[in-house]
Amino acid sequence: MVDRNVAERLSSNSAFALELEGVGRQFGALVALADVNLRVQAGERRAILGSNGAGKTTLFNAVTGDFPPTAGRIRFFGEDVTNFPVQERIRRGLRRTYQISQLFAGLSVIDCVFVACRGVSRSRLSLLRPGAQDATMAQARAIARSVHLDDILDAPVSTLSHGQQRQLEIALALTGAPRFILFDEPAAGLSPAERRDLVAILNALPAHIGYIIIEHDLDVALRVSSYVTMMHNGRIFKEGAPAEIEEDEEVQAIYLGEGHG
Amino acid sequence: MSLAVSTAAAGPTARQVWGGVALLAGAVLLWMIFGIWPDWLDWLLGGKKTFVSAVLNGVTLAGLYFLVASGFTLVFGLMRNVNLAHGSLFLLGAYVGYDVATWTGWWALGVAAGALVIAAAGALLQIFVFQRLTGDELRQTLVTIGISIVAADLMLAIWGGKTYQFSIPPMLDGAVSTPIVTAVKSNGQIVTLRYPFYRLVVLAISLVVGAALWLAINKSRFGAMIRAGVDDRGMLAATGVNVRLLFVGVFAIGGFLAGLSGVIGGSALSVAPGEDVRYLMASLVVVIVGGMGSISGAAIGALLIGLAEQLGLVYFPTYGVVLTFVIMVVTLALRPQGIMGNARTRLADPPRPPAPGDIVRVEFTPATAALAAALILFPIVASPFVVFQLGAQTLILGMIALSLTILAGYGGMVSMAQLTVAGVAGYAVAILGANSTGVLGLNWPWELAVPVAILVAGLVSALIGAIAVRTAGIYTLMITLAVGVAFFYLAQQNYTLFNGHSGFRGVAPPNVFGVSWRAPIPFYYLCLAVAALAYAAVVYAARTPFGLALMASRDNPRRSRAVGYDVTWLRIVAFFFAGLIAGAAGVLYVWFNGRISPGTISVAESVGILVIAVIGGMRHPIGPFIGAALYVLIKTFAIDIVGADRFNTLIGAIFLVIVFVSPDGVLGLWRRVQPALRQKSLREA
Repeated sequence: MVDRNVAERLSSNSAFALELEGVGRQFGALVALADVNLRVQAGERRAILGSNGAGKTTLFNAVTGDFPPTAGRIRFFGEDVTNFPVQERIRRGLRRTYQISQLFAGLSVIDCVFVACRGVSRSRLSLLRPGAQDATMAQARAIARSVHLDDILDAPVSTLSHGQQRQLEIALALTGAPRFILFDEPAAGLSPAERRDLVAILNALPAHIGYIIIEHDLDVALRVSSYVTMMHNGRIFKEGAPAEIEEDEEVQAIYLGEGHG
Repeated sequence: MSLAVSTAAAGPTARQVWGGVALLAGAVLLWMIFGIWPDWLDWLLGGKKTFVSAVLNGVTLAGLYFLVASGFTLVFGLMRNVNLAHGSLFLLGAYVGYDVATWTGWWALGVAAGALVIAAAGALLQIFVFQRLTGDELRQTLVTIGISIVAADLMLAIWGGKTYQFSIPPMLDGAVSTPIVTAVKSNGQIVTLRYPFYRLVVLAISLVVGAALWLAINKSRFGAMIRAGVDDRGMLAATGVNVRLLFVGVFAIGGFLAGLSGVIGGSALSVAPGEDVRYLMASLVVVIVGGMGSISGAAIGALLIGLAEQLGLVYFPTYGVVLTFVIMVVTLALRPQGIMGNARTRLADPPRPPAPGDIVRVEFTPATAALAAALILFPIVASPFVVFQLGAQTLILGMIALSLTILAGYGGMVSMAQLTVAGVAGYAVAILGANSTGVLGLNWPWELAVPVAILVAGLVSALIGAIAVRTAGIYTLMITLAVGVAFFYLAQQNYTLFNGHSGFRGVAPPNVFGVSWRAPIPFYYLCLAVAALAYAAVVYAARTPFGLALMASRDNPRRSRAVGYDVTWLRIVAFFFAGLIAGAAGVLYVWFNGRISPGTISVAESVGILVIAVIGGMRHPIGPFIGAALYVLIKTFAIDIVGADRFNTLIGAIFLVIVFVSPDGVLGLWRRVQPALRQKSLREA
């Protein structure tokens, strides 16, 4: 289900998927994000590291519009989306997952994925039931299979285990024609086997789909990204290749919590 | 991430701008009151005396509204309890105060008794009722609705339909001179305004109470606990505060304020049935405008609404309510959380676990066919009276309740304005088609009048949705209730369009295909066909992308946006479709009754639709029809059980029992009993 607009925009060929200029977010007097400048190329896979409260999720919320930035500009494939509502950004090919699963508890797994697939298509509010040959339904099934949920399609979402919910969370970010995805701690609470699965799913994404992943587990983070951004106290404080970041003393001090002395 | 820490998007600059505007408006108003008017202003506003009296009336009424609304907002702010029985507490306080004042001969004793008795009633309600429902906002509110139904009926039983007039102590009575110059005579003599002293006393009392509340909340330890509880109940409990006791205390204060304002307000105006709804409406609008849970917001809201009401009464009498309504709509459009409200109110749109009333999956089954067959054969076994009075009425009320059920069950939005929407269609048919009242009646052919009426209902419903769905959860209920009450008062006041109190008579279905559709049996089949169509449409639509998206947005609006849906638009569209169903039912309802008047769409009747939906159960679209059948049966046979006049007590009590025992109605009751029965039969086998 490639929307024609999306196809046109894909051909418009902007070098950067995401450009942030001086982005900040304040909650009352609390500065959660300050002067963030960030450029991510289309197809690039980047990890964001940082301790709790570093502003990583706030950054995601600013990019998706869940909590729009209070300062700065955000461009998505060259288009200024700073003042767009959430759904307009999603319809342009941005996707995200949440740190705490945000699912539709009253629906079944397949309905959940189907609703998400229709959300980015033109016929999202159709009053016709999907037929047996419905393309969106077929896509929903394929996505459910890709995250290993195909044998519980009719199970109510509220009955899923934590791991299954995390998988569904990822499924909701793969709908339609994603161009760039924000993964917020997708491995949180997963078992080692599930983590291996997650790495495989991420590495199997088509090459044109870029993403940013927030992940505390360095084993996961460094295996699925080619570039790392470090955040601290609401600011970007270091960027580099995974190897450089791993070696960096300052990073280790902050990240491993040894910098208090 | 501490996303919970959020404040209004408006920075200090915006606040300064608004402060400046308010100061300027205040200065102009002061000059208009104390200055000497030029002739053109006299001409424009119909004389200074008229204007200043209206302003003074507005301000003193605002004082009274503030007294009532402050208790309402205090209870809401801390306990998230939308106490829709607040108007009943007000009226009960007035009655108790009147009895004590008349019996002892001391007015002050009446005031004290009214306030203290209602304070105790409030504390008891919290201890015995609401404590059991903590955390379940919707059920708490439903219970307050049940209480208000029963209370209104019992008060009617005890004090009758009479209007009581307090005798105010002589020292507070009479008029006094004010330093306000209304005119300068040609001989230079200055004419000043005389004003009823008691009204100024009401204003003074409200100022004192307001100041006391402000001090108590901002400067005392008790107030600090309340403020902490408003921000985070769980954290307050974790710091060792006895939250239960605090809640009882606050509910007692809320009751005290309701009882106090009952006696004070009853002395200024009068005490009669129906005043409970009037002051509940005032509280709702004041709190919606001023900001939910904010005392200073209540003061600002009361001032706006009081002034709007009194100025509206003087300058455009039959549309006075519209002014109040416009203030509410404009506020909600610009600041959905109210003028002084916390922005979090607006963002509080959290994901929620499946509630008992949620519709998950509904399909056509053999049972549907069996039910359809039974309903088609019903007129063969029943008398025409039963077919018409019970059958048709059940189907019509069931359809109106169905429009509520789809909003609540599929969309998570409890709308109290569905009967209002049906009423809009009913009025439209009476106005556009033919009626025998001799007022309006444009005599359009039914082929035109009926579709237009239904479409108008859909659009009005969408409009109500647009106003209500920008905030979440329980606010939808409050706002739709306020809209419904406003429409009731508009229809009652306005004669040019709605023909006021008497409404329209002689509205009947047409003769088509040689059949007189007003005859009982044909009319029953007409209702059955429309109801079946509505039911089938709902069941079908539930499994379409639109239906699924609506359910998804009910479960988790934030995620719904993050997969591409415009949740606000989606909900407005749902209101539109629900409005079409309610509108179709509204046309049938006006044909059924043969007439429509404000009484048809009164608050009590609107609440009746909610009662039907809740009794039947909202988890399945058949629920509202079951609820309607029970409601109509009870209403018809109440005469034999409790006497004709106590129907409301009976239905209110049943409603309360259902809300307490089985939140998903009779359907849920069945679901709960079913497994137990099955087990029993296994044991016997």
